[in-house]
Amino acid sequence: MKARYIVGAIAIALGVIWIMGVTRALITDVLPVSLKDPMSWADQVYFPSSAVSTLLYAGFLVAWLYYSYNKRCKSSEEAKQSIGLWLSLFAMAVLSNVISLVLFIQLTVVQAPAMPGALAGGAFVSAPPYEFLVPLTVINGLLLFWLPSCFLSQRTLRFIPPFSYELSSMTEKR
Amino acid sequence: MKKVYLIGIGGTGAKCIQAAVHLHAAGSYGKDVRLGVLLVDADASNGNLQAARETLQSALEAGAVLRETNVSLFSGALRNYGYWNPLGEYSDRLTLSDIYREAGLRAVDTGLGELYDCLVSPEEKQADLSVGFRGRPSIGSAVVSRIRSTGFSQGPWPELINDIQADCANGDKPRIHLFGSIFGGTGSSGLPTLGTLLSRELKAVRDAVEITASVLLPYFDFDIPEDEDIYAEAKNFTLNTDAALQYLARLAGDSFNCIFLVGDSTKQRYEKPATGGPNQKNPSSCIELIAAAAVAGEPGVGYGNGAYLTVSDGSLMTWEDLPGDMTAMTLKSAVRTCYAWHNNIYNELREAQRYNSKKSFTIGAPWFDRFFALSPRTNRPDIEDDEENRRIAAFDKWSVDFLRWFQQLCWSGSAREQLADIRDDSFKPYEGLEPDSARIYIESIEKLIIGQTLAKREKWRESIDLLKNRLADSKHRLEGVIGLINNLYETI
Repeated sequence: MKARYIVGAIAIALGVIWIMGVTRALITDVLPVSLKDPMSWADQVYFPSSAVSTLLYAGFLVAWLYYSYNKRCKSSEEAKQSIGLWLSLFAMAVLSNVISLVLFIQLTVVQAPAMPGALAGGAFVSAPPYEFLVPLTVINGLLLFWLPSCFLSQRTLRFIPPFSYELSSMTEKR
Repeated sequence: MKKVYLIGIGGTGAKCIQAAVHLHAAGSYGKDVRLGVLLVDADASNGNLQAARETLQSALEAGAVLRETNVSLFSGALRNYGYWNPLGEYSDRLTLSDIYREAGLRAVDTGLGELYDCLVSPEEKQADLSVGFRGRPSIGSAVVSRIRSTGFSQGPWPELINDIQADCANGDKPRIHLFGSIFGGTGSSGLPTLGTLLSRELKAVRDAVEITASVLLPYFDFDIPEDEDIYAEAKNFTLNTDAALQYLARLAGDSFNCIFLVGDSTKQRYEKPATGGPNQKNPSSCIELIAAAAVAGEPGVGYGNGAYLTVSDGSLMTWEDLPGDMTAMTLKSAVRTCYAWHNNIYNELREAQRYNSKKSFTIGAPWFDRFFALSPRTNRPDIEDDEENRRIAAFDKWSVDFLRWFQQLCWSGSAREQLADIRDDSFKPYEGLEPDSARIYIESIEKLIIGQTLAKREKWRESIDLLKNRLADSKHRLEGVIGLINNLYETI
């Protein structure tokens, strides 16, 4: 198997680990989020949302790979016009993930255990951390769509994703 | 290295030479073959002769910049021995009466003059021979046979004879192959005569030399030309053929190691016939291709000392009709390569030259950086180098000539296309350095070769895009334009 396909598969695995594991840990333990119970919120909102997010990115990636495999280009010029489609898919992937995240946040009622502060009648603002979630979603997109597409794009469209020529050259001396 | 010397006699001989030069460039005669070419015609301005000379010139130019060791296209050396006009030394006397000095002949011997009157009609005596022998073998043989008196010391003959003798001295077994029609004037008189005279001239090394010939039987037909009184007449073709075949069988047969008789029951009809001169430029025919391919046939191996080669399927030629083990395969590859080049690769290379950043072009053409440098830091050839430009121009010029020739023969002899489906007959070379806007980009060559069915796993070969991808998938020993066209030829 070609090295770039292996690297592409590793990129997908890294993306899944990032979205399902690292991002979750960042929300619960690292980032200064204003959540009443970050652990419960992560379990009940972020985890299912990230699973859907992974599937959405994978779907858009497969769509691009299928297109690149089947597309026949007469010329370099025609092939390069596919960048428009790639950017559209990337934008749609990020946007659909943001929408999916917002829907999960708005429609999910978090069931959290009673907190000592709440029992004492203290007020606590539980605001979804959009300022972190949106950039993280974009990073998810880079890991689960852009990076794998750089290594896994097929045939004439193999170098259409931005910087794919440079990245592919690292795995295969040209 | 195999050494082959081709001698094309008359208009048909020139057309066979054109086919043979294309086959040689396409690798049909093998990679290690040196081809020498000599054209013989009394009509220096004959359109067929000019077309053959143009083909020869474009193949020589392309070979000079594209030849490399162990490649497929232009791998064999090509040598042009030029052109010999049997009337050359009589340039001031262009009638038969002038050449034989009729007045002097009669003065010396009245009987000889009367014999001359018996053999030559008054019209033939005074016919202007500057446009050839006008389909009259009697005129041609009278002129061509006079070379015997000069001992092949005229024009390009000494050089040709010396090279053949040198080959024999080096232990090679050179082959001389003559092309000519047997039903017209120049070919039917020149081919048996020159074959016999060459055999005698090379008597000392005759065992080391193979002399073969492609003799073309009547394969075309035409109306009476309007321009002359003495002209080649199709009605005389059968008579001429009969006489020439009898001459070959009785008197000249021993001079040849093998004679390939080439013909077709269906005659191609030429619309605008001309007796000679630049207007005599007939379209190529598949019969000439068979005649040229006969050079790949080994005398004695399957052919004995003679064979009849023709179109097997009624009026339509198929790839199986071509003699030679590699002829069909190599010619198919050459047709596909030239077609893909003309309608896709050429413009792609010209487009690449316009890009300041070659990497930007490679983004949409992953094959490009396998053959050309993206920056001065790499060792690969720069697409903008003068040398690469010369290669592009030379290959394009030859491929246009090749496609024109092949397109004509695909439509020769019948109402339907044969061998390949090439309907566009407007192939033109392009002088500029930018993409040629007159060429349409094509992606599929699926239906180009008639009768070629690829297995499902080989279907990718029908797409130029997938062929380019195959080139993009690995490194290649040869780079630049030479590497690109040869790898495309091998992959296609």
